[in-house]
Amino acid sequence: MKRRSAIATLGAISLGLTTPRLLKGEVLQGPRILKKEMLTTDILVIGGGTAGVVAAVQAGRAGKKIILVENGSMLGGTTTTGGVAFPGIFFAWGKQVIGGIGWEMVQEAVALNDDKLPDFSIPHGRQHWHHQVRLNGPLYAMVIEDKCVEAGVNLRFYETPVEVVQHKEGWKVTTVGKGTETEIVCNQLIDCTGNAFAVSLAGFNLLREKETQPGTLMFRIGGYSLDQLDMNRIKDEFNAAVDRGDLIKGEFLHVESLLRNAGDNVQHIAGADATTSVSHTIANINGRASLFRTLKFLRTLPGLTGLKVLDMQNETAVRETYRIDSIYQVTHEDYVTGRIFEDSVSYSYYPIDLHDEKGVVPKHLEEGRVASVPLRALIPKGSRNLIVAGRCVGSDRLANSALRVQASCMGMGQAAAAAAVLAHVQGKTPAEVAMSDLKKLLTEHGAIVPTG
Amino acid sequence: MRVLGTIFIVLLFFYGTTSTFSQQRREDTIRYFTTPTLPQNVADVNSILIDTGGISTPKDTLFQLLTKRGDPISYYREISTEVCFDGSCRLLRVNLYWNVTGRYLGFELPPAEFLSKAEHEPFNEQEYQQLHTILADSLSPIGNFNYQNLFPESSAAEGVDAVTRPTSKDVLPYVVKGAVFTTYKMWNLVYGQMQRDVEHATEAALNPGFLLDILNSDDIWDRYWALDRMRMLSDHPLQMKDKVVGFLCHSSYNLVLHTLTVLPEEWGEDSSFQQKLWLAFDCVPAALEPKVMEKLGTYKKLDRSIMLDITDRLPTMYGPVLTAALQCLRNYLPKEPEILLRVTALLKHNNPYIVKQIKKFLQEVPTID
Repeated sequence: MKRRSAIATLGAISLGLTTPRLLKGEVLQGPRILKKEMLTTDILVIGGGTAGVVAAVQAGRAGKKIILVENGSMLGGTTTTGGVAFPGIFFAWGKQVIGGIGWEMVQEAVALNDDKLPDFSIPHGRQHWHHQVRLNGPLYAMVIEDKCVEAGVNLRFYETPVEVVQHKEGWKVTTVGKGTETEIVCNQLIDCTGNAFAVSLAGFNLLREKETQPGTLMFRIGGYSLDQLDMNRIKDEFNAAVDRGDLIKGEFLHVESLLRNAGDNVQHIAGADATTSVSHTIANINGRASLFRTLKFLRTLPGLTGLKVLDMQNETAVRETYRIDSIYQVTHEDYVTGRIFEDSVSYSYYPIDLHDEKGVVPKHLEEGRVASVPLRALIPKGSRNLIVAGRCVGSDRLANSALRVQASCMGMGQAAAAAAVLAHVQGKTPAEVAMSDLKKLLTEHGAIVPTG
Repeated sequence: MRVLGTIFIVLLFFYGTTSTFSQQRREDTIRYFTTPTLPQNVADVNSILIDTGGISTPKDTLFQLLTKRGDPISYYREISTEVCFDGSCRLLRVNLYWNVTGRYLGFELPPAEFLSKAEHEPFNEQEYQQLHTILADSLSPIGNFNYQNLFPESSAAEGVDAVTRPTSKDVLPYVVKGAVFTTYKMWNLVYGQMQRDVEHATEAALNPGFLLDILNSDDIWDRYWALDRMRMLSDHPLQMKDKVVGFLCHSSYNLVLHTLTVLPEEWGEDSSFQQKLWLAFDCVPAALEPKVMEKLGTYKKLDRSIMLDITDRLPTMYGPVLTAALQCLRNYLPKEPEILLRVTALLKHNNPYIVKQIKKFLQEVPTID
């Protein structure tokens, strides 16, 4: 009895030793256990960027149960987090070619910011940016999140897929996030990662160029007066610094352009790749280091001693990584001739816009030409119940340099989701969906479907 | 005397042509014109004294060309100004013409006068045409340059336009080579205060028939201009309403959007106008269908046949069109059991997203139990 009582006392003493004294208002939280759960959904969209948001809203509005997984903290991808808040071109040769949900969101953000749309009836000539719609990035992020919530999309931020396996008539996707590990079972999977990451995890091959287009960290600088600058001297000093190796050749091709545009879309970060945490970390560090290096150098020059960084995005925006090995690859010839396919699901209109170490010289389409995206370019070869939307569309490099632009990605997002919805309803895979059904669904939801 | 002489020349020219202007040179007169807003059947000329803002000649005359009915059809001003840079000047004498909407119409040089470039070399035909094209471009980037950045910083001062001094390569695509200051000066004269003077003068002369004439112009700028000024008139005849509603079926997205934005609210008091607007629902770009609904929703009393049509089409509507359609019907539901019944029937729609929207909508209509 004495022994028992002694042990009990020891237990009480030991509990007293491990339990901290709680101050008023404090509660004790035990060690966190990874929250594992399993979810089921009709359609799963991976990637809440330009294409993914549109895809999720389309699926939600078509009445499907939908989950959207995004590894960042807000929606919009390149448009918002990347800061490239001028989402390409929606009008070609006086007519709207990309409409639907993407345009609805853009238009709403424009109206809420009291912005004015460019006059699309005036030809843009060689200045295609005259038809770009400038957005307020943070406002756009709120607009699109609201649209997703309104469409019943189950949003899951801070999550990324780590495994994609076939499961019955669909997929089981394992994601990890902050304190979570989730198995999501879905019938249809839409990869909107921009890097075909989910497609790759599902076991399909991807294509990549030996040298990809550079990325860009978007930022804004100020604190100087352009008309007070001795631009020739600045150019000479800048070029000399590049020659000495103090600055990296190609990061800012023209210092005059950097200063005139106050930093807007002027930087090139070679090899920028957003596919994995490791590659994106490198892209971000390189982007910021480039700006930091250049900022410190410019502040030593006359007229620029007060130069300041006024704003900077959280990450380096990426132009090109992987493309899917699709049933059909859109070629440069298809793009510039404005080929319309029997299974064209959306238009794309932009100059061939390949950025390289020498900069970019956009090659404009001939008058009246508007390219299109066939459904087959969105479907990985040999896959079932899997479709992509966005810059990883099956295409050759030159075609991709135009297809990658956000407006085109929005069109693809809506089309991919509509195909997935019909495939889910009809018990088919997206490649088997009848074009007449797909066109009808897309048109009902305001999208513009190519006719030829 | 100089004024009278000019009027004579202008009258002679206008009477001598039809409504079509062209790039023609008559003997010793150099003149370039765009398609005018209105046929140039000049019957009279009115002189309007304007404030130029200049020091040496604070007042000048804007000539308003009029029809027999007394409506303006175009304007011109005799420009006599110096183009100066780096202390050297040369005289620029030119008559600039504007349409009634302030849109550039053309230019004409006084008899025997010609424009010159560097080293006083006269413009050739191609350069006059280039100048004319630049002046016709209201959005030309030349409007964003100031006088000083027309030349690169390092180039030495050598004189007027004129000149051999190199033009900044940013500016080059938007000017006549060797005549940067003449181009710059003329563009800024066309789109400066005088353009606003022209617009004000036309606004002062507006009447329904005249505004309808401008709405009938093929030029999109003219149409925007007229649409923006409908509010200045209290009387909008049927012909004008029909013309404006007709714009809703135009292929220009911007024109359709602008038209929907400026449609006067009082037009909606007439149910026949409402019917025309509702008919346009099927020809506006899909992205603007919600805007038509929203417009119909602003009218105090919506025609019942339109309400029934909208209700019939509800089952096929999605997204913002459906939202706008429901809002359009919202105020009528308490007193329209037939429409209410049909909206309520959508609670059995096979799309759960629609069902959710309808439920939410019905909860927000306050007077329905």
